Amino acid sequence: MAAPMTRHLRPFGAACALAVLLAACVDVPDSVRAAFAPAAPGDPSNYRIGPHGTAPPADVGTAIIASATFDASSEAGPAVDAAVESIAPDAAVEPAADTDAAVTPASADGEGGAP
Amino acid sequence: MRASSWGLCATLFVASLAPSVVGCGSHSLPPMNVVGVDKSKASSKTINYLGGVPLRSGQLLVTESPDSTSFVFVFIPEKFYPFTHVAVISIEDGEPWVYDVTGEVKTFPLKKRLMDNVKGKMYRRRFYEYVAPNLHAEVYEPPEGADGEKLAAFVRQKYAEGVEFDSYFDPNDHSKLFCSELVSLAIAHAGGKPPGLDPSNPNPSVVEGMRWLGVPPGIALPAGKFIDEKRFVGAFGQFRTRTQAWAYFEAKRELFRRFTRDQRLGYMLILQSSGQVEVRPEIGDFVFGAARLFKGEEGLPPPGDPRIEAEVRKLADKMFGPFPASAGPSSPAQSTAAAPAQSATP
Repeated sequence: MAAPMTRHLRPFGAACALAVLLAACVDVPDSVRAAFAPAAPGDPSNYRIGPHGTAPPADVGTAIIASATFDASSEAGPAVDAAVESIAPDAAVEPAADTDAAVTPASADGEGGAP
Repeated sequence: MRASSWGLCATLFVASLAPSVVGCGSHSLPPMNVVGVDKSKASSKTINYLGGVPLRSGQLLVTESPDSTSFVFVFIPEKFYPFTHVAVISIEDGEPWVYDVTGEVKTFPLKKRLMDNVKGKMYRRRFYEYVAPNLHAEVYEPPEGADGEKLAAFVRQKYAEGVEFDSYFDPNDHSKLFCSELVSLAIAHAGGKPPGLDPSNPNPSVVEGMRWLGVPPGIALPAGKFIDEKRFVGAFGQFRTRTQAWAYFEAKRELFRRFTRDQRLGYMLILQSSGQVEVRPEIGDFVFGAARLFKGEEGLPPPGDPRIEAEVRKLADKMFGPFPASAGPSSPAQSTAAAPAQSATP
């Protein structure tokens, strides 16, 4: 868990590492964890990766947006190529559970509600 | 319910970067590209910075944080706005300085509530030192009617007074300030009309998150409210072109558009047991993949060009499934509020 932060803050020294330790002490209630729960297979996620949005969630680990570690020599631009790093590169995306599902978006009317 | 406001300052969580730059001693700053300039803004009051960007006192500097916090802030207001932080430029002895107010995580004593561990103050930093750690930054002239010298004098005065950061974002109590509150007050002091407050996002997961932080859902004052393409001066950052930067913003706007009332933050973000928020891999892939759609430096569509929106939506449909063009959490007029005018070129 601390791995990405360590990478993220490495250039900035001990004070930042202390901030990581601090983060371990905050209280996160269940209601907030529910708000941040990943999409379950039946959830109406509009961000579900896969064919037509029907694949199960790509809950393969975590990512962090990098800070001052961009590769300026990259062809497409430093931030573009180097800004996202997964800390679980060996994790696999589960196969689609239902590739025959409808291709309509999970939600499109702005009013909410499961399809 | 107490009215409160999110200033969307980019440094609230432990992943904050800018205060760390100040506080942590030796480090090397990343290279910073100049990716846009409007030299017509040059005058007898401006200095030529980095080969021709006309900077002067009172200009506003908006920045986009490179870390995951920027993906939290974008969902706080009811409408989409780019950028996560706003500050003011002051030219002193021919050098550009940046004044802002921002929070950082305290050391001890440790508090259970996240925001109780955040405190901050006003900072004065050299322009390059301030801008370089960010993903993208843009400079804008102060709003019409605001005197730049008075605007800069106001923030210098607040810096001298040692104003503290308001970690609970109360826009009605000016004894402590958050970033956009400071800039709003400075604009008003200088004779201009600051932007008004926005409603915060009624999405239930956003409301729950704000409640957890101790900031009652209510109103927001996003940094992006201070931009206007007609007042654009210059752009800096990690992208190769301003078009790439605005393709990145367009991707975040697409994420916002898809964030209908039944969606929750967890579909895009991961909340670690530590309280740290991270971006799901596919979301990061999407936003930076969007920037990657526009390579090269010639013939690129300028910010606000509908081709950027079209290409980014095409990518989103490919990655996440189709989503109707007319759908979204806000009306079409609202959803385009933050897009710059098409007359501008990067």
